[in-house]
Amino acid sequence: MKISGKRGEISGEIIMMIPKILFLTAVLFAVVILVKLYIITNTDIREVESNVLIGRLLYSKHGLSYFDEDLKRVYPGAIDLNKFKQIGEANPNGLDMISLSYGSDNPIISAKITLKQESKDDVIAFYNKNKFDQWEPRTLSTVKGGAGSVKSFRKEVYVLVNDNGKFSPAILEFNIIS
Amino acid sequence: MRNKTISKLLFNNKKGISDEMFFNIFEIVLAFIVILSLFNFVTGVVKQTIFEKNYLARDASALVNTIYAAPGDLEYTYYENSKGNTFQFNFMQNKVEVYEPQETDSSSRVFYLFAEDKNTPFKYLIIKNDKGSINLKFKKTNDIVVYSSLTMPNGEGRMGGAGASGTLVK
Repeated sequence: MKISGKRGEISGEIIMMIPKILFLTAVLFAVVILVKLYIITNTDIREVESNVLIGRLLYSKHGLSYFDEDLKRVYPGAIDLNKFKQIGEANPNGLDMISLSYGSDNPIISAKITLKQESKDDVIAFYNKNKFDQWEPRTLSTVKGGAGSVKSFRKEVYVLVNDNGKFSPAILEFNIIS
Repeated sequence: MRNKTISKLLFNNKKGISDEMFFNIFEIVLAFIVILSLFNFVTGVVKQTIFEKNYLARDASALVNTIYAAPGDLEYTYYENSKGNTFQFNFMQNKVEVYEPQETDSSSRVFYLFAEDKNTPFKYLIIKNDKGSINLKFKKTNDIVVYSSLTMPNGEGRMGGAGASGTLVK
């Protein structure tokens, strides 16, 4: 194509401007993407939530700790073995329906609580068991489809176990997935 | 007719703007428009309150969970000063919603979930705030009541003359 004359000169200039405009558009998009990239809209409170859940299970009147009906007081960190076994056996979703209810579907947090006693079998209770089973594989980085979308937190707490008035030392292991 | 005269003056007149000059000016104007639109975009981002609403919703729900964790009765005052923003708190079943008064569309509101204890019921309440700062008072006895420091615990009427009020949700 031969570009000559006044009009040809102008159209040639316009053609020359195309890469400039493309470059300008690329810069515009780059700035927008960079700004959007650095905007934080969410705060990750999963670890805080996990600690609060542990606190709630250990210290709350309707958690795992022994509650003296006569004195109307909780013994924080003294696990009521009968209550714990009931939670583990009777209804795997018992805790999240009454004491710690996020509604019919809990998309926030789930936990596996293991009570380890010397020379005795471990007693296991779940909080939000359905979601725990669903989320547990996702904590592994090797799992395809959703790996890393949930976080796992582990904590061991030294407790006393109240077995019909007899106290003995034990370890309560929390495996929380949030 | 007038346009023709202007273009004639611009391009054909020896004293007018040359083609090169015209394209240079065009480029400068284009760059200026881009800079202006970017500034406009950044200003828009700065004005957004999504982060604040997210933060407040999460903070309030974590606070409710912590209050539930306390073995006994308690009273806690949460001082919120969002510097000019008048965020409203709507404590609903299992969730707390934070929004600005003009946000009538529920999609622009931000909420976060908290775990209720059915043995200790939570009194649902909308806390209005028209002064930019608010004191949220949480009181836990047999149930949990949340109210602004300027309203009665049962949500009826104001205790003071400043700008925060609560509405009890039935």
